[in-house]
Amino acid sequence: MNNFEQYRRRFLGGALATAGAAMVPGLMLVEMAHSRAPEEPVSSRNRWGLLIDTTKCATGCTECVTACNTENGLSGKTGPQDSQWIRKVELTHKKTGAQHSLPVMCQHCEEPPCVDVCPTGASFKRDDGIVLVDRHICIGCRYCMMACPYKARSLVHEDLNDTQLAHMPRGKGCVESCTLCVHKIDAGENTTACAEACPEQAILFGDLNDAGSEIARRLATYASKEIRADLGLNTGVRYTGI
Amino acid sequence: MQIINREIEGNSAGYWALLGGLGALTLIGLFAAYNMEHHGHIITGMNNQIVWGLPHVFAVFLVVAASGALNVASVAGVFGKKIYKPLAPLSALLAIALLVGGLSVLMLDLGRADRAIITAWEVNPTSVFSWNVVLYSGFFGFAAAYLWTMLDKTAKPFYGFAAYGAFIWRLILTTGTGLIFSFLVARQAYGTALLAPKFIVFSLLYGTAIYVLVLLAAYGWGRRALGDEVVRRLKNMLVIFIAASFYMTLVYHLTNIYFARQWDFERFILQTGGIYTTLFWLGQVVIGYAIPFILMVAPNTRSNRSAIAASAVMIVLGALAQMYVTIVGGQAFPLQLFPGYIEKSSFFDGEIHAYTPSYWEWMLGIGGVAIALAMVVFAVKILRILPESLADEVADPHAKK
Amino acid sequence: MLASWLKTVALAALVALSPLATAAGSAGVPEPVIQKGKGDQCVEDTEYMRKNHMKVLKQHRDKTVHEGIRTKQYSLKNCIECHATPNEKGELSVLGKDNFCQSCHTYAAVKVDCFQCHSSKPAGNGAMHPIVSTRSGPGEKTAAGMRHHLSGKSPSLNSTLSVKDIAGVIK
Repeated sequence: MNNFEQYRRRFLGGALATAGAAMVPGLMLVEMAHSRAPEEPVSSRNRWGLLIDTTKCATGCTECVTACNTENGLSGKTGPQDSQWIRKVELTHKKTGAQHSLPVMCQHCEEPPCVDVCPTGASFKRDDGIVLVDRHICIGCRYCMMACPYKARSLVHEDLNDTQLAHMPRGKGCVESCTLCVHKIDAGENTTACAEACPEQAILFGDLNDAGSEIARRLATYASKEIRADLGLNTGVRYTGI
Repeated sequence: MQIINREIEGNSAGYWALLGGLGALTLIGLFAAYNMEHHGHIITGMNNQIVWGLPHVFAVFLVVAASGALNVASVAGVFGKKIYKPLAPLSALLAIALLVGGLSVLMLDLGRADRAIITAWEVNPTSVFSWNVVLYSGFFGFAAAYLWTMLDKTAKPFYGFAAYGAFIWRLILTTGTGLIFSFLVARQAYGTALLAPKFIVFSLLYGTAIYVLVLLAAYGWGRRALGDEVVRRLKNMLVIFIAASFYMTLVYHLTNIYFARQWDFERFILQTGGIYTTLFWLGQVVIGYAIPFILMVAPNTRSNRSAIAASAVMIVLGALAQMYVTIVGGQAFPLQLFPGYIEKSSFFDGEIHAYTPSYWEWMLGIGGVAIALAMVVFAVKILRILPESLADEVADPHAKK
Repeated sequence: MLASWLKTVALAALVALSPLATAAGSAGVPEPVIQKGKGDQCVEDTEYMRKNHMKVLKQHRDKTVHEGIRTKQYSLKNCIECHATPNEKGELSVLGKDNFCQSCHTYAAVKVDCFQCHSSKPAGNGAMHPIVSTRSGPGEKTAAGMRHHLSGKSPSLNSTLSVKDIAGVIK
């Protein structure tokens, strides 16, 4: 082999090694994201949340709503007694006429009023920030529905007659709301049905506690707000563009 | 003259018809509860916008009235007014019965009524409902103990403890009932500490009004003497409580009207709310406060027993109207998620929420009232609750205090 | 004190009816049909499961819901994966006259609350029917029928299981 060949081999070897070394942190990050073993409980190391860019949200588009209904086995009907875990709200400013469109679901507050008022503790906040209803102990008193500032909760008004999806138990007489697709998070998919379905990628899912995640970086860069920020609930769902 | 309590005879056709009628209404209420449990709340008019409806109007009314019904006994036992002492056993009985009626409606309306028992051990220390499980149970204990010390001479030593205990416990209980709504920060009708004392004042009015009605009915139908002195004093209490209730209502709305962010809500209740506006002005203010006040103060009518009875009935109707406006009206006005914006969505954001009570809810609510009254009708027959005579010469001579 | 003729009649009636009782006892409630599920054996042995499955499920559910622990061993969903067998309609389920959970529970006359909320079918089945479609014309006794009667509105949610199928188990 002449000098040039040797040099080339050394260069390529070094380049590959460097590339490999550079990838390792990325692989390790992916490892860490999936690293919660099934027998390990969730911890407050993570705080899951959503960042919704309302400037990308189109009036009349309901892809996120449809995706949520499909994912969770909801009927999709919109009568007064039908469950809606997420809905599109169309806003028009009273004075200026400015218009916005955005999806509203359970805001997964850090200080949830629904958790404070539940008599049995069925409405609870998991350590990783997701606010859920433990339907094993929900007695259907609907006090959480009265307390929620975002009207996020629905009561199941009738028998579901075994039409539920296997991964999403829900039943008559119990209260329910957006679970932040907890079944997907626990399975390591780290996304929600609504975030996946949005054609404009207006909904971003992520770990608010991970400074390196895209959601945390965007929240640190751009102005965002909570709905009813005056209530001091520190919601996990934030919005930009309104 | 010694006042002797005696059971009523309860043998007449009228008595059995009354008890039978109340029993039938109770069964109808239970039938409604069965259907609601079996088919789900879909058969009711309640929905995801109006989550607490007519059953809660009746239930909260009964619970608030229950604590106020103990007022007459407290005036005797705590404030030492001797003329009210013979009236006290009925007061304690009525308190227990009304609370049973109210709680029956509340528990039967639960989405999972079969799980109601778990509230005994699944406790959330920040939840007013959890506190109420303790407060309501304790109230039964205190009121029952109080009644016992009044009926059983050997229990007299505990009379003071029972009387004061029941009085204080009842104030905490009614505060708890008001705080159910006070602690709801997000809704414009609620989230104010004023609701706790407001409910205490309302309880005095509603409880005493029901007491007057039951007393007049028991002595009228039971053909026992009821003198004007006793009736006059109860009437005076009602007049004071109407004034106090009106004051609370006035302060509540006046403060709300002062805040710009509450104008839309106040305009809804006071002016544009349709049924809620009608129930507020006509039901609560005119029928519930103004007319009874005038009847019980004007010289021609204030001694007239029929006028007083009619006033008590109107106070009760006004109470139901007030509860409807507070509970249902407070939910009908939509949550303001985005102040300054008009909101529109598939989940009824930004619109006044519609509610029509179903027959089932009427049946359940009235069933609760029937349970309470049936308990009273039955108890006065088997226990020595009612004095043989409350004629003036019997009740009054020892009364000057 | 009962009149003596009344006592005679009562005694005679008891004697006459007792064969009925024993007959009912011998005919009795049909014994549970234990259809074999998938796999060789359950996660625990049969006697342990018969005594403790309710305790095991109750403890595991709290861990799953509150702590996100989704181990498969005591997961209800996983039970259904193996124990679901074809019901009368040919669908895999643990509910149905001769299916796993229901036939034992009917025999023991113990209401099982789980399937008020949980699907009785294994995961694959559910995914086939993502959005529930509507169907009209319920009978009088269903929730939808009641509503229809009282408010004239049309019902929602269809089902492949009728109320009768799951009677005695969750109703």
